[in-house]
Amino acid sequence: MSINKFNLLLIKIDLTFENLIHVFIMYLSSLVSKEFSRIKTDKRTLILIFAIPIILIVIFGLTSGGGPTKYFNCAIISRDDLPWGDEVNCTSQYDETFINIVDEDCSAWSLIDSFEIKEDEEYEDAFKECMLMLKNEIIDIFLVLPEEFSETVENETDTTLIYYIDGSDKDSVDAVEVALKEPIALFRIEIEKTTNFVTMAPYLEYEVPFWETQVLNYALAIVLSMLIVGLLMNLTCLSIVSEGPLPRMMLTPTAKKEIILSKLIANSIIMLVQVTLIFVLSAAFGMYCLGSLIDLYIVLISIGFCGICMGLFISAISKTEQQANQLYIMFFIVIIMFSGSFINIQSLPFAMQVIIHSLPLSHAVPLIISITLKGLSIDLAHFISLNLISVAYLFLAYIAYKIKKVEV
Amino acid sequence: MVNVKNNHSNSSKIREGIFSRLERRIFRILRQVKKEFQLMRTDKINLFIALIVPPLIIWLFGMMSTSASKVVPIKIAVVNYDSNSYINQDNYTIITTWDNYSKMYLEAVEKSKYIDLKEYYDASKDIYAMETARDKLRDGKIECIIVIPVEFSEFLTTGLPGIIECVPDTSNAVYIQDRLNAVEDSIDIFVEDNNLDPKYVSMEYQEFSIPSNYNFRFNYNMTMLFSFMVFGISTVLSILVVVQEKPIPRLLLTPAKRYEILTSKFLTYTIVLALQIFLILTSAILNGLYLRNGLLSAIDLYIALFMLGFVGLSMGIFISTVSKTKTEANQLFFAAFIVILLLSGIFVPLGSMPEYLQIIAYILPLSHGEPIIRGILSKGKSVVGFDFFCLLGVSVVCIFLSFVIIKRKRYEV
Repeated sequence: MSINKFNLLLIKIDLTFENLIHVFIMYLSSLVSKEFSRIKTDKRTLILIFAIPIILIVIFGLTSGGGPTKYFNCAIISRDDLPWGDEVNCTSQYDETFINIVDEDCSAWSLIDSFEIKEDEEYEDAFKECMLMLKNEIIDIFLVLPEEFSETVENETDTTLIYYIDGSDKDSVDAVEVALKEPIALFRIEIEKTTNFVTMAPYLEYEVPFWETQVLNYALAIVLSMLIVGLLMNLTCLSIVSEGPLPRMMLTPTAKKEIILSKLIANSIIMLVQVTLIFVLSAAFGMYCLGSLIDLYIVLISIGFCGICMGLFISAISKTEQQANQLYIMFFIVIIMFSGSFINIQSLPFAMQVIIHSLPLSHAVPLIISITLKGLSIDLAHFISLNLISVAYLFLAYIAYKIKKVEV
Repeated sequence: MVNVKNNHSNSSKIREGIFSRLERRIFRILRQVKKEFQLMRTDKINLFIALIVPPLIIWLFGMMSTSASKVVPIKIAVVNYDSNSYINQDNYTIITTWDNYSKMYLEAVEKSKYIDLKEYYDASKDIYAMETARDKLRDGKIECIIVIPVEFSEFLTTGLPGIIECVPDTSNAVYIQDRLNAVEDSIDIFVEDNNLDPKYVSMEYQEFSIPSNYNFRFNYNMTMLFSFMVFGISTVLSILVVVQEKPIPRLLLTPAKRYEILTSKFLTYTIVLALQIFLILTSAILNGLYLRNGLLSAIDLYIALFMLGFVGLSMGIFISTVSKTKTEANQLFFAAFIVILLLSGIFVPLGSMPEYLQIIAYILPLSHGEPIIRGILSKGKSVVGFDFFCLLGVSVVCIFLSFVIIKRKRYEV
């Protein structure tokens, strides 16, 4: 073959390849526009697509408008006025100081009620009342200052504080020992008895500043990722299974991969609009972001993309809409339960950690936190993992749809 | 006499008529319930997902909670400034470099089972110790920095309070308390080992707690997760039941009334719900759910979960009657579910919400889920109470609205 002929062949192949791509893109864009016109026909759904993210973020934004709350609602029973030891050393000068400190000076404590016991019989009634308040969750804890409280403080011997806590409230049980140090420290400083006193002064690093909406910003990472994944899964989980004309399209030269691809593109465009809405509205409600907003936006888009891929997978494996819906809620529940918010991932054996890391929220939450609160750039390990999960679901969706029997 | 006889026969005829009409209605409803079950049986995978998957999720969660180790040591770096020169504030000529207490404190840090000491920096030798530690904290290599200040030993020796500074990574609210607790544990060991009297000793009595032979983590989390799980799966079970069914318009050509159609759907899905709750509860109990009053608590819990599920079912059918298309029903469900979830107190505490939102939250079902379940499981409370009646009220309103809407809905036959 002469060189000229060979060049001609190459040009021909090139042209054919170019044509192929051109045709493919044309074909795909017509499929995508078909998707949009299908969505446009159902005006109510179209409105809901854009109204739902707005409503959800507005409600989430409003939830944090109540200001900070005290951590421990408590009651105190003081038995300090009851006689203890010999009459010469008997004193009850410190219990009121302690109660006043809990009432007025502590940031983590809110005193609901206090009882000063003068006689033993009164203690039983006070104890019953406190127990009832504890049972009805009016208080989280009640403290009992023993008979020897002031005497031990005065004599600088070990002082005992008795407390009864609602053991069904894990957060309170975990926090009580550290929280108790606050009134004790303030009390010891107030009465100027600080010999051998060792305490901890925490300086919180990467916290949400107090002038920002702390509740909203601490919940932001989990709520935003949950919202975006859920929203996009919801949008796409019926996209294949519910579409009537799809089996008929199989009679045309349209390939299944083109159908999946067109749905992916159409839904991704909707996702971009939804994520932008969520992003802008979150900022309007006081989202605190130390890092780059562009990085955060990219991460939110990745989370949304993962939601689309999971939704397409659910839609591809389901035979009926009811099935798709059921699978969707199961996936959603699993994603939230195993997001790491309820179980510390590090405490799990390796195999369990793998299960959790194969779900999007275990990557989405640290990614958002590292950008918003730590001011870091995108954590590549988590970002790649999140996108790998998306690709895996997309691939599985394609395989499932390819082997799915479609009756025309 | 004849009139009395006629009246008597008329009234008995009327009574018979009412009874026969009622009988026919019940017969029609039962036939439709049967039809619904037949319809359900055609989609076996759907039934499998509805009945088997939720108990499997609970089983997996139970397994994870059980296998999770109880103590995960916190990765910590200690930066010690105590050996640096301390200039006495009252007399600037006195400069000391005492560090006897910091050595003892370091021993306590090493003793604590809650601390994994990753790095130790002596700031008297490494002036950039704190910067290095901060870099490690930022990169997630450590979770907390303990700083022993320059005056630590001097203060303790002279009767002033010794303050341990602690810099925990607080970007993830879930782990803050564990980090503070770990540092506090090291201080307690330090005080105890070195007889730093007087001590303030706390005696803890936990009321309504989970017994030690039960998994605390699983039980605590289940009180929160039960409600949103049961509510979610029962709502999703019913959101398409009216909107998707094509034979409804055709059914309306028969003597079947709209309310009969809806009643039959309620009956069918209530039976499925009862079975779902039974399986979920069984799975949870087998995984170590603690019931304070044994069988009585189990019955109470079953009723509570059923009530939560029934609210979900009523809301699902309400959404289904309101919606015109399946996609619309699906989206409405998601919007309603997330709003209810956001206002449930699971992610944002109810107490920190503005008052008007708290009122809305108390109208919605999930804010009653956790209190009612916790009350039954750990406090041995009865299911019947404020929360139960709130749930009942919400479901009655949803059922009423569903019947009103389906009566007014236009169907093209």
